[in-house]
Amino acid sequence: MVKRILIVDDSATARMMIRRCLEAVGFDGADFREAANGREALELLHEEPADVILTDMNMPEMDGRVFIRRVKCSPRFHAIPVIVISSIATVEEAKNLQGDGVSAVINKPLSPMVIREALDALDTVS
Amino acid sequence: MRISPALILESLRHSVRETFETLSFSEITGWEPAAGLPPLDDESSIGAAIEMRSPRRGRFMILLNRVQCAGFVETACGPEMSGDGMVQDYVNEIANTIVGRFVTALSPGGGPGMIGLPEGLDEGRVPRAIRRTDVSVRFLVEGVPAWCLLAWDRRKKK
Repeated sequence: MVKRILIVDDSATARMMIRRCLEAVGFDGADFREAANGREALELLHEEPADVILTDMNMPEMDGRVFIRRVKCSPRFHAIPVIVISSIATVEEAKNLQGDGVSAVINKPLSPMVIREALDALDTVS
Repeated sequence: MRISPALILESLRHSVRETFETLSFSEITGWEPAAGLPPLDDESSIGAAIEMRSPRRGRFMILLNRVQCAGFVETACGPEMSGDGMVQDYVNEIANTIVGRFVTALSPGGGPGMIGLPEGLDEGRVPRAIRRTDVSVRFLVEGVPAWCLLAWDRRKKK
């Protein structure tokens, strides 16, 4: 069961939208943590790991690609499922990301049901 | 690469409609090509610009009504999250989502679309690249006028 959710997006609006979507589909009791880029997200993970990471791709300082690579190369964090939420997730890029260990790729604008399905699929796999 | 003007307009319209329906639960109507630039120095407006890098280079800009956007932010995020910074962040995210969907729609065979980071437009400050527009569209967000503009990069690749 997903309890600790790390949301990574440079837009405070996007982070809030993602959180509201999660709350709307039953994750209102989750422990949400937020980071504005990959570097901040890694700092939060070092403080306390998450059960799932939802990340944007296009961010300043450390973008989603580098952040995902760091997570998936880390012995401590590599098992944390990563879901990408991006406005530029093309079919080709989604395949590449899944090859890099990303569990799901969701297109912005986000809908609650799509995010619910992605998280349910994680439970099924685990 | 050659992308037809009809595909550009239709992809842009679809991206704008989808983004506003989802991010602000609002309807887009009155979509029509506009002549020239909107009233960019109008204090009631708030805008964001973003660079497009692939499949075609250029720049996108959106101009919205500031008061209307503040209302959208309050509805979506609650009164504790409102404020000028949050409204600009909201407009930036609108621009980011529209352009992301737009370049994805233009990318042949699902190839990678690439965009830059959105930047807010200070009052009256217009990116140089957008002073000459290739596509200018006026539309209504719940009846309130808004504009989006595209300017393609005409520099030749080295």
